[in-house]
Amino acid sequence: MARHTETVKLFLIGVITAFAALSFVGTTIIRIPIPATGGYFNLGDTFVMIAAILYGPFVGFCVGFIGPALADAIGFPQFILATAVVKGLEGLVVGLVARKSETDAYMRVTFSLLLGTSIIVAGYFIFEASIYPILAVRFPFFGVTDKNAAIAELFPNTLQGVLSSLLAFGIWRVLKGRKNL
Amino acid sequence: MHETNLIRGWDKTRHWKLKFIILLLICLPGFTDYFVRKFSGPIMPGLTHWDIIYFFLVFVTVLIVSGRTILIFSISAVALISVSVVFTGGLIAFLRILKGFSVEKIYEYSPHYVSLLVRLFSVVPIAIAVVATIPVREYECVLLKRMTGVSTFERIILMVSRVLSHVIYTVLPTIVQIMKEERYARKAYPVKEMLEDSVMKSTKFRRRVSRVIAEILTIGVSFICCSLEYIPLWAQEISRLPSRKEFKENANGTPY
Repeated sequence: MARHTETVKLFLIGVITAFAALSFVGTTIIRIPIPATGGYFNLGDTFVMIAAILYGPFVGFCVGFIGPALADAIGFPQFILATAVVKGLEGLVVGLVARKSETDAYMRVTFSLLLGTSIIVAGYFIFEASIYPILAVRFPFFGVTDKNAAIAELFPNTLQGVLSSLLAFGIWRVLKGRKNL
Repeated sequence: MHETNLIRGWDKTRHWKLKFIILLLICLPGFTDYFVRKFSGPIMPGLTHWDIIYFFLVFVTVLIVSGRTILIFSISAVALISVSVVFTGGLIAFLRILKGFSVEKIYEYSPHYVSLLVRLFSVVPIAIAVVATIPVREYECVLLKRMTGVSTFERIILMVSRVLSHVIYTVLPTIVQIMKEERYARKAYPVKEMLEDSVMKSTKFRRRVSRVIAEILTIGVSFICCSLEYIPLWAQEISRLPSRKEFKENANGTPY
């Protein structure tokens, strides 16, 4: 029994590592910068969402917290904090809403992806418009955004969320029948 | 002898902790992005003296500590990343200004991209060198051969290192191969020719879009399936390694 529990734990650690690596690659390779804020558009969210849908909120949270934040460390260190919190929350919420979606799977997954997109948009807006300017008073390192920049980033973030959700939905439809995953 | 060291780097398994600490210390200013800029004056907009010094410091350190192979690999990685980050970003900014979507001038944006490019050329090589310094395979061999059992933390390390090595050395090349094959398939059966004699010309655009979406989904699904392929097997295998506790309990019996 103890061995079985340990196998399951190790399996989840492996899954978290794999998805974190995938979201890191997805975030690093496809990066379209947003000139107004110095941030960038990417499709790494797809893997966070898929991990959350397939393996639940804990895996989703860990993948969102680790993968995209590591990608931010390469070239955009100011955004590590915001990314870790926002994407972690996104994975957690998507996983919570989408889990146990046996009967009304399509509805639940669609709703969870919509919620995930909203969290990306709202989360980054809150960080860039409020939290970073407050932090910048004490730590100039965070002085990269303000309210105007946050507003300018609303559209790219929405686009990023919607595209990632669509991709995640497509991949989930292909993978949902596979019992060995 | 000296040249051999530069090509292979400082012998990988010897003093890896010392090398790791040296690289970690050097990578700190680059990753925090703070000290590099705070104590230096600008050479040109977006570029400071410290940026240049740091850039050379990183290159020399990576060359000496990790070797030429890692340095060349990291330069290729930077080139790949900067295509989208720096050049596409610069192009988008330029087009926005050209079309009148932005009130700012080109010279207001250009320092951002200059500093971003220099930062990527410093940060990516040092990050790759730090990861490459850890002798993962050797450590894995030591753990698997150990007769005194493996702790829970070491099991986690084993799992993480296996999955990461698998993604880096197997999954990524496989995906590149899949993308190449998709490209060949696209060349061999172009949508245009397929539909040339078709009466359903109105569906041409739809088919083209469907094919692109199908290709993206294929790559995404392949990425996930390839990465997760051996995880259940490895979880079973690693969980069956003797634990420290089991070893202590069987200390008087036959060793594993």
